[in-house]
Formats: sequence, C-alpha cells, structure tokens
Amino acid sequence: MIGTIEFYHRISDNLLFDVPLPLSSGLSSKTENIGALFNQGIELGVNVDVVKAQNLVWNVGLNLSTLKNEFTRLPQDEIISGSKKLMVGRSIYDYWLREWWGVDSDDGAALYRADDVEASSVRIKGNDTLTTDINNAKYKYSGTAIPDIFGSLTSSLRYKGLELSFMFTYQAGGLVLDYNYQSCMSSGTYGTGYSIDILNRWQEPGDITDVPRMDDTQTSNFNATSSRWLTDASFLNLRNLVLSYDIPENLTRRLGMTRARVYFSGENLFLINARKGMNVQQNFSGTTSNVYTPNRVITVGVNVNF
Amino acid sequence: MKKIIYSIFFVMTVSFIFSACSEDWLEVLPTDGVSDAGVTASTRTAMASLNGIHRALYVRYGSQGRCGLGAWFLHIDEQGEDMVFNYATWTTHLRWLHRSATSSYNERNWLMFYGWIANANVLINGIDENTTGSQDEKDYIIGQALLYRAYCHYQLVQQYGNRYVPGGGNTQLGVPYMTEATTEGQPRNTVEEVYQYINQDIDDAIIILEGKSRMNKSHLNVDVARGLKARVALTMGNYATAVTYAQQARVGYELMDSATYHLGFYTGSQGSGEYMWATQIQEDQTDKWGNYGAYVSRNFSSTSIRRNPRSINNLLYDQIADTDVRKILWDPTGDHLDLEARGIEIVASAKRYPYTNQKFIAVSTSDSRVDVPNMRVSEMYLIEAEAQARRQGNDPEAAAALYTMAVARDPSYILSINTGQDLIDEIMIQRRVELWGEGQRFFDLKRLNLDLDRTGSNHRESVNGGLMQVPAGDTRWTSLIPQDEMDANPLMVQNDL
Repeated sequence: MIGTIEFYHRISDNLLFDVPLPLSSGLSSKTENIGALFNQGIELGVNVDVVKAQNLVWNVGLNLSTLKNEFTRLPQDEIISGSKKLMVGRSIYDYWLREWWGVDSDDGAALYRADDVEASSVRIKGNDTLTTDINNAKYKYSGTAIPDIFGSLTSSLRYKGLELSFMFTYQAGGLVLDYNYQSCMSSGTYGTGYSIDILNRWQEPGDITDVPRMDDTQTSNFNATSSRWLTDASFLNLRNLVLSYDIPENLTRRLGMTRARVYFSGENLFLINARKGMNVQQNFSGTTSNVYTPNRVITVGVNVNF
Repeated sequence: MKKIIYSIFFVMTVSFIFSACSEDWLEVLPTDGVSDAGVTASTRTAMASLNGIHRALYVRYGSQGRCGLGAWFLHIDEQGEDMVFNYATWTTHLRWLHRSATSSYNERNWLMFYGWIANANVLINGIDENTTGSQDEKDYIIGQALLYRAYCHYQLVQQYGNRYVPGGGNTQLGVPYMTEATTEGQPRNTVEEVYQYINQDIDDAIIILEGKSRMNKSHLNVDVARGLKARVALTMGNYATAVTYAQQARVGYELMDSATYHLGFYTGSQGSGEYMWATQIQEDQTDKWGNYGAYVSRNFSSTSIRRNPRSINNLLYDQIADTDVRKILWDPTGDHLDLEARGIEIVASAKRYPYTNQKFIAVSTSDSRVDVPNMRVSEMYLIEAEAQARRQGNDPEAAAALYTMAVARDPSYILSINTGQDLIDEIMIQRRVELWGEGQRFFDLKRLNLDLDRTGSNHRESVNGGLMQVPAGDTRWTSLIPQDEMDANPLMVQNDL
C-alpha cells in the first residue's frame, strides 16, 4: 500500500479581475489588481494492492480532495458579478441569488422572499413576507459551487488473461445553478422542449407543487433566475471501464498470431446525480449552458499481432 | 492589409530592440486604446473620435437584436400599439419584459447611451486651447458632442424617469446627467434638472454650430439641434418653443413628393430633402443580421423578417385615406405584388401576413442596409401642428402646418376644418402613420399620459404575451434601473417596482 496526504495553502495576491463599474460611466468594467485570496485543502491518494498473487492481481486506488477558497482582500466591500458576490471571507464561487420560496397553492404564482415589504406585489404566507414580482425578490447568499469532497476511485483486477479495470469520478456537496433546466421549464415560447417536471405544474387551487402555473404572461417573474435553480451537484460517474481477455498463447500460436486480445471498453457508462441529463462538471463556477455533454462511448474490439 | 501587417512587425521589432529593462521604458498605456488626452490632441484626432460615435450608432450591443439607434427605435415602437408582430421572435420590448432590472435589453440600452455620452464628454471637456486645429473645427466637433449628450440623456430620461408633467415640479428622479467622463457612480438628477441640462446643451450647440455646413447627413448640424429642441419642447409641453424651433429647423428641407415616398425608405437619405439626420450604414461595415433593415424592412431575408415581418395596427391603417400614398406602404393582403412588379424580391420562404409594411426596403434580399431615419422634416410639421393645436386658439395655424405635410402625402387632402380635440386627434393619427417604425410612439403615449390599448386590433395575445393594455400612470411605464448599475453605484436609487 502506498499513499500520500498533502495539505496545501496557496496564497494568490494581486489578482487581475474585471471590476464592475456603474454602467452610467459608459463602461461595464475595468481590469484591476483587486486583491488576494487563498486556496486551501487536503489531497489524499491511496493505492492498495488488495491481492498480489501469481495469477490474480487486484489494485484499488482512491483520490480525495477538498478545497476551500476565500478572499482575504478586495478593493471594495462587495463585487457582484453574474450569479456570485465577492466579499472578504467569502469564496469566488458563492452564489448571490434572489431567494425562491415556492409556489402559492392558491393561484400557482411563483413566490420569492420580498425585499420591499410594502410593495403592492407582497403576499403573506404564515410568517413569511413574499412577492410575485421578481424585481422585488430579495438577494441572498445561497450556497457555493465548491463541493465538500471530490476525487476518483480506480480499480484494476487481473486474473490470468482476463482484466477488468474501471474509474469512477465523484463529488459530494456543492450546488449547480442549472440554467439548462431553467430554460426547459420556461413557458415563454411556443414550440420548445420541456423538462418532464413541467407535468408537476400548478393547475388548480390547492395543488401543492414547486412548479408554478404555466403562464405565458408571467415568465419573467415565474421563470426568473433565483435560488430555485440550485441543485445538489453531488455525482458518481463511471468514467471508464475496460474488460479484456488475452487469448492463451497456445491457441494464438496455432493461428499464426503472436498475440490476440478481445476487449470491451465503455466511457461514461453511467452518471448518478440529482437530475437526469444534468452535467455538473461543465464549469467551476457551477453554471450550465448548452454545450455537449460527455458522450457515452462503447467500443468492442479485437487486437491481433502477427 | 499586408502592408499593415509588415509595419506592425516592423514596429514590434524596433520596440523590442530599443526597449531596455528600465522602468522608463515600460509602456503603461494600452496599445489597443488611446488616452483621453490623445483623443483631444488635435482636431484631427478629435474628429476621428466623433466619427467613432457616428459609427457606434449602428454597431451591435451584445446581441443581434440590439444594433444601436435603429434597434432602439424599433424597441420604442414595439412598446406601443402601432407596430404589430406576427410571430414571437425578439419580443422583449413588445411584451414589456425590457423593464426588468436584470433584462439584458434594459442593461445594454442603458450602457449604450451612457457609452456615447462618455465619449462625447471626452470631446466636450478635452478640447481646449491646447488642441491643435482651427476654432471652426473645434466648434464643429464640440457642437455635435453636446448634441449627442443631450440626445442620449433625452432618450434615457424618457425610458427611466417617470413622465415629464408639463407645468409640474417634476421633482421625480430622472437619470444621472453625466457631464464628465468618470468611473465614479453619480446620483440621479430630477427629471426637471435633466431637461434643464438637455436644453442647455442644445442651446450651446445651436450657438456654435450656427452657419456651419456638415460633411454628411450622418453628422449633426444646427438644424438637427433645432429639431431636437422642438422635440424636447413638445415633451415638456412648451408648445410655443416647439413651434418656433420646428419652423426654424425645417428651413432648407423639402418633404418627399408622393412618387418618391411611394418607393419607400431605403438608402437614399443623402440626396433627399426629407432627411434632416440619418445614419448611413457603410457597405463594408454593415451588420448584416443586426441592422435596422434586418428587422424592419420587408424584403431582406432574415429569420426575423421571414417569420415576423412587421405589420401596422389595422385600426390605424383603416384611418389612412385611400388617396394617401401611405396606404401603399402597408399591404392589407400581405402579398406585396406591387413590390414584385418593381423588381423587388421577397424570398418565397418568407411568411405572408396581413398589413405588413413595405415602408422600409433594404438594398436586397441579402443586403439589409436601410438608412436609419433619425430625424425627418415631416416630423417638424407634425410637431408644429400638434404644438399649435395644444395651444389655445391656434387651430388655424395648426391646420395649416398639418396641411403642408398631409397634402404632400395625399394630393386629395383638404385643409382640416376640425378644431379642438378633433383637430388634435387628426394630427395624432397623421403622426402615428407618418412616423411608424421611427421610435416615437411609446414616448408619445407616455408624454401624453395615454393608456396603451392594443385590443380589437391585429395584435395577438399569443405573440405579445397577453400584454394588451397598460393603463396610463402604471409603474410599468418606467423601466427599472439596471441591476448592474444598482450593484456598482451606491448612489443609485431604484424606481418603483
């Protein structure tokens, strides 16, 4: 068994960053050396030969990492950039989003925590002061894109000519802001594809659901970017698997071959995560967009040497 | 091109050879930009910068549907009731989704105008006695920069401030009137203050542009300044001022005759007496899919026009007299057979809908250029007529001003005998028909405090997201301040949600 444990604490200073400017200056941002942050974490690697005999070899490896990212200095108190807000003591991947509350079971309206509690769009539910107007929805720190742990698990097993190896990648914790899902839940345009979750939409008073009524006139409110689209980013992915068999030498020699191997190999054979079709590994920042998801590739073949 | 590449290599090599490690040799200015001082070093460099603003009027702002001032005109008309969509594409403004603080349309339009303002400010504040060049040239540049500053703030305050109430105190918040190029966030001025500044800038521009000829109608001159002054006065309800300036502004211009008008609006603004200010898109600098003509013309073959050719509100169309040349600019059948007879092709795959316009005709199915009509002389007659009609006892003068414009469009038009509100109504119908697609209608509704009412017309709820009516005074008439501005400017105050 061999293994390593590493602890790292890396300080980055004088970071170049696009600092947002008031748009009324005529510019949207300027590049500045805005500050300092550190990345810190543990990296653990273990490799175990579970069995090491003449005909049977089994090796298992595990990789596990953690990451903590924190600003230690910024030129201004806060910088809001896209779905994130940067502050000292916070990470570069902390979500700053309007706070989703749920769906009003009376009329199927989307409800958000209200910022201005005096506004006309305000509704009271229990102890909560809520709004149907996205522009009045309150912003809030809503978790981070950074996972608690992430890494991979590999295994390689060989018995005589037969070999089976695979690699899983995984992550636990972290949130993904699933823009793709958001667009598949929008009722704003005719003739577009939907997520199957749209079947759960509110339809009549009393319906308890987390999908608002389908209302073409209200998409900018009901389908807006908010903490509603945050999804657990934990996943387990069978990244690749190879099963191969070396045909015994006495057989190959008779056929005039020096070596022959049949194999099956698969990539991305399965991915378990919170939502089918979601690819959480797209971006460090945790957002999704319309890009190709990793293909599932299956290869079956024969390798012959003469 | 080759030459340029060689000279770049040459410059790079030379700078490499002569650069040492001493700090003095560090180039601190970016090589892809120029400093404010560099811009105003001479009238030649300043003129290049001003030309940059003229050019910026038709570049893309973050997305195909936002191609400068032409796109803005369409957005403003889409927010009204006279422009009708036949298919739901690029519907942000049609559905009034633009007013959301996080709408990219909201943000980019705001940034676009403030970008032009910042560039104008560099010229206004930077050109001084140290700038080499004649005083005439300096005035020519500063005058236009002042007009751009006034014009941009005028657009912004109408969209982002509650309406200017004629005779009211107008202490409601407008927009920051930027008089300096600064990256520090500024507080909002009141609507009254913004209009004061706008008028001041226009007045200053009139003084220094007086008597100066311009190189091209894409430049601004004293007539445009007076025309803008008249527009602003109409918004403020200063009807006497509006009349005076509208009359002065139109001197030397000539209404298109009906034979020319019948051909529609295309790329002929330079030689036409009708245009006071137009953006002429250069053939080698065109944004094929983003141009004004890529959305509003009838014949260009873009996704937008093939699926969603723009129609006029049928209720408005019905009010156009049969003898009026403008009756031809929209086709109630949507077939546009007369266009084909004139050799203007509409591709077969383009959808046909009733009441689509042929007011705007692009160069061809594959070239979307149409001159953007930023200001036309007919508007001056309409301003004069409306302003006279809204002053008590000036109906005859109003009817006379209207007559000049209307008879040029309809030879059978006879001097109106309407008075009072009837006359005003007649003028407004003329105005809506005449300026369709030119960025006025929503602002007209807002300045006059009228309801938006699309009901009973060819507007369809399935296309406009059910936005059929908005009562006057509703908070939605005023756009929210973009969230990015709120986030980065601690002095900014949000509008009523």
